[in-house]
Amino acid sequence: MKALELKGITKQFPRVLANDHINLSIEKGEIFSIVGENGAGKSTLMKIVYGLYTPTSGEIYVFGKKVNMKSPHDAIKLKIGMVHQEFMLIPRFTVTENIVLGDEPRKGIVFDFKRAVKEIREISEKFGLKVDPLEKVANLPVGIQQRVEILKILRRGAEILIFDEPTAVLTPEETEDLFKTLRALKKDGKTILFISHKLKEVMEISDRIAVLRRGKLQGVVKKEETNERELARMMVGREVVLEIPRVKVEKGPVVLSVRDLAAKDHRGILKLKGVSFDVHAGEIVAIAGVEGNGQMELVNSLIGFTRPVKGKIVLNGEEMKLITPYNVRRKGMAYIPEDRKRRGLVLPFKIRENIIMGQHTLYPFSKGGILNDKVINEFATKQVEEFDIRPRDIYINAGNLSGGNQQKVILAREMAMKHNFLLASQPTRGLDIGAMEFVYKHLIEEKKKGIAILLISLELSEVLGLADRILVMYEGEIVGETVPEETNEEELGMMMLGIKRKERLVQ
Amino acid sequence: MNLLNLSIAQMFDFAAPILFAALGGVVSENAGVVNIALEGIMRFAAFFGVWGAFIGKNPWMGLLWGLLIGAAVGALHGYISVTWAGDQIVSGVAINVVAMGIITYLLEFVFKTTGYSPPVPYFGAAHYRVHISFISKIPILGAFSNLTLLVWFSLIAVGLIHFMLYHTVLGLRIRAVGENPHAAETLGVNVMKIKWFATILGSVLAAFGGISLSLGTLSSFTNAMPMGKGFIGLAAMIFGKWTPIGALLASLVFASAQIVQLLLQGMASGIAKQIPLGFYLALPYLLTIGALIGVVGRAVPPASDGIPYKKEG
Amino acid sequence: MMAMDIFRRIFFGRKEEYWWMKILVPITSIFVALIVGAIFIWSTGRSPVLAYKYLFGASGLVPGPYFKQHFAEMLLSSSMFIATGLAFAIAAKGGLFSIGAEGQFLVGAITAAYFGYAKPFASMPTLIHLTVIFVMVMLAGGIWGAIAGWLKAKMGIHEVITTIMLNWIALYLIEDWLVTGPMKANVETGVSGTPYVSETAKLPIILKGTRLNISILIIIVVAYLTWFLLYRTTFGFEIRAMGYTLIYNMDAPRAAGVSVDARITQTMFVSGAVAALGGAFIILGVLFQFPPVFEGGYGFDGIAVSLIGQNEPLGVFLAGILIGGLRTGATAVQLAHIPKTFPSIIEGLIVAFIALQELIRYLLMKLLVHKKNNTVSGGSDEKAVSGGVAK
Repeated sequence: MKALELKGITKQFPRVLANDHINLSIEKGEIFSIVGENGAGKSTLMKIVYGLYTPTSGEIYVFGKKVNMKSPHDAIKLKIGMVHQEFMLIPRFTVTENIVLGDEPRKGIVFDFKRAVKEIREISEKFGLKVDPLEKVANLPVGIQQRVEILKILRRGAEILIFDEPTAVLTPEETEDLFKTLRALKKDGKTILFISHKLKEVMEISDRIAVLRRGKLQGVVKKEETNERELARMMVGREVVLEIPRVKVEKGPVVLSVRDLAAKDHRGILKLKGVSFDVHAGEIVAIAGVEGNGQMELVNSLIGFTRPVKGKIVLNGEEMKLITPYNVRRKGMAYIPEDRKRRGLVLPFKIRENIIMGQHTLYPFSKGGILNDKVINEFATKQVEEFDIRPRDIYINAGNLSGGNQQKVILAREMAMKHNFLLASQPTRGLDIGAMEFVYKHLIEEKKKGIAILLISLELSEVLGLADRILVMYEGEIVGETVPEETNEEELGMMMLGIKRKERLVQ
Repeated sequence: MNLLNLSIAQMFDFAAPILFAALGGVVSENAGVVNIALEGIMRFAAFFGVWGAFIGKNPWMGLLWGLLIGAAVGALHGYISVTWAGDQIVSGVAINVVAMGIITYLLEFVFKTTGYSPPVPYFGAAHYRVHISFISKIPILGAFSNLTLLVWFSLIAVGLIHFMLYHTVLGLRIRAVGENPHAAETLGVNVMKIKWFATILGSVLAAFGGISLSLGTLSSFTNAMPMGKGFIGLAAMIFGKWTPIGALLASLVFASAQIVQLLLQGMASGIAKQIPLGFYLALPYLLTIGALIGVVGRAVPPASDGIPYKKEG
Repeated sequence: MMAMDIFRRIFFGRKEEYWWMKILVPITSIFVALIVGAIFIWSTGRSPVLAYKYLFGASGLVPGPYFKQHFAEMLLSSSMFIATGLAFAIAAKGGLFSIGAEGQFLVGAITAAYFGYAKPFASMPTLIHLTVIFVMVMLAGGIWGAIAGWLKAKMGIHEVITTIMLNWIALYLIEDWLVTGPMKANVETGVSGTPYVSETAKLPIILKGTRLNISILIIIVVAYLTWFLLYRTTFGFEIRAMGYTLIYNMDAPRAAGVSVDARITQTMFVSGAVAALGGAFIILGVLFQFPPVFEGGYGFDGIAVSLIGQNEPLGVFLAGILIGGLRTGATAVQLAHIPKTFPSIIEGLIVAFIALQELIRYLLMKLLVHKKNNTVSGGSDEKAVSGGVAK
């Protein structure tokens, strides 16, 4: 039986044709993946299926019946549920409140919280998705937040579940958990639409895979009849090299030295519990670990957002006394932030403004506090060209760029800054293959130039591919040190979960 | 009544308009609609309240007129900032400025005066007060023996709004809309309807505040009304961290600072007499800043407060 | 079209689609507000034609009898509205919602009055005396503004609260302490309020036979400097970067090395200093003393002026001229038996229609642009954050 059929779906935005006559038919009880690069039209298509967008033309059939959805409300009634890429959760609300919102158990006008909690307990039991109904969502790790999202749609009786890039924010363990859940749901007879650009995961979980490129359907393939390479070619339209080339660079002197560094998070909980390590010139040191094990506090201490409770940071032979972003940057630190929209860019600023932010007080961009527009424009034009930022218009707002191009603006800015240490915190988060390739290329370039790089990453393949040395963090401590040649994903995974420790003498 | 009870009673009189305004802000901003038009709405309601009481020859008619105009002005704010997703601050400023001009105009048009209206029947009159004579002699509790209806309304409103926001389905939805309207929308909550409701209710509460000014302890409208009480209410809302009970406490802090000012001024002798009037008058405002430094940390508004909501697609 | 294109290049940079909307929307708002105002007057049984005839006849905005006088008075009051308008705009660009111009204006006024009459200064030559006064005025107003900024940066107290409180504190300390106490004029002279400022502290007249003085020239320079500060300096760059991130609680400028806390205080200092200028103008050019009862409101009108001018220095300047004109014509409307607060109704209505600019833009688009797609602000696949910044 067909759960969902799309016939000739087209969505025309004022300037973009996001979906171009898409035909798909999805069987009940299958896990159906839709892959494509950012901007290929996956999200638009799913928003149409979920009633958030109305298609310009085309027909949708749900369980054989032609439907006409005007809002998510209609989709919910048709038993379609969606887990959005950016979670639709209210951090200040409890798990229970988040799940029942919009369909609350009530006594008259009163919200029956007790009954709601009971319902959540039952439904969480039924689907094997453990949550604490009374906990505030803000206090939950991302993986559990996603669970809340899934429970939300299951409680509404969803039969077709759409997951929009669900693994983008998850750790490897959380991803494994999610896949277990997806398989269990499939067994239960639910139909699952899985949107992703991570081909490895798609190959692991799907029954069938549809590939989108620039709004057009490139084809639908069975998992057994394809491989990652073929999918990548269909997605990008050319052969893609997924391997990261190994480059050997002579190790230079110590650039960053961290000793016994400890720091608290914004709620005052000690999250970083005394770490020590060195980063040499021309070396990429990777910090591997499950999210929330002190990486954020390490980054914040290094960049000057958090005042460490103890320990010292020595950058270029000088102990940093008053650590502020301004000071560390003057001392030669560049920073690729983990959240480019919040920390990397001022979204309503133009490219030309974002690309000099941080260097704007320096000559030649300004002199005596007065900006030199001519120099800025020349620089911006040059960088936009060199870093292949599209569109090639320095007057466009950063907020109107795609994720990949936003990251390129940050790279173009940070690379141009005078630095010999680069703090790269999850530099490929949420990027598609093309953009990832681009970031890797530039990190290796940096290394060749003799820059010391501290890479913080949740992606093991990235860590193994790029790093010269790997430090594993668990619960705020470094529990292992190794080199890529002497380890593998499995061993790293065990260390990340604190099951295994490994010391390696620093030569 | 002894001085303590009298002072406490007077504190509630002072607090009522501020509290109503603050509650109006609480309701509206919990749904994500910033309403700095509170000041203007109070002015509209204070005048229309007097006008209504003048025509109807009783304060109830005044109350009705005041609330109706409050709802109407709230609807204007809703139309601009909810329906058309206009800038809520700009809309609020507009209403405040219009209120300034239009009420002066109407004061002259209706009562043919420029400074203040003639006296009208008001809620402060003895037979409109709530007498609870058996507690009148008890310290502190006695303060509640002879309050006006409007003061009681303001206290009851705190309870009702607390109940609504935190214990009803509607309240859950209001807060959800203020935190993350897109999330609420995907769950089938009618965001626009909720925002409209909160805007109107918030404005009606502010209107109560305006009426407390002109028909509470006074019996006429003066052209200076509401003398910044709406803005103080806004401050009380922030001070009270966007909660009804917080708003109550903040309003009482502010009102008691004013009582302290009056007492000090009245009792001043010796050196205290040398202290100029200006310091006494500025005291409540200084105390408010001091209280904020000392007591309250960073207050966090609802996450989507003030951000115009537009439907996708 | 050539001239239009040059105009666009100068004021709007390049490549903005329908850039002319930025001008047309405020103009339409003003026009519609005047129509609604007319309907209001008509509904109260008076003549809108007469009202507008008197209002604009005496506004100094259109030529007519006694134009020179009206024109001078208009510029005189405009300079004060522009000062408070710019003050609001500067803070708003930095994401700070300052209601404090009213208090800063008063602080500026009392400072100007003091240094205007105080003995050691009163004997200085005009140029030096005025320089001293203006430096002190801007310093005092700046500090008054910076207090609110500092309280926000260090203590996290919302600037709306502190600026409101500081307004009242300024008012009471000035009116019920300074003016009636330490700064009281000698009783025998029969003057109430502070003593009059010395001749050397009076702003030089630039149009003979009127009260028009150099305040308008000063404010033109200040408006230009504000624009320069915001768009041509690193400080302005940081203010604008902060503006967005403060509202949405984001960290990008901080991560790039901008000291956001310091900038908040500094921005409020500049804002306060500019507002205080307005206070100096009224003392040194109109009143020549601080009177016992001060008719304020310039600070609050500054918010409206800034909003009408879209928080841009040039816009604030033009809006200030308009509001100054309407206020100058205010007394004349009484001849049509209309209260002199009528112009503030118009002012409020203009702001209301500015708030409704989405609607006006939509209607103008329908009227003027005949395109296939009727979506004005089109969406795209990538969720772009925009708007909501200009507050």
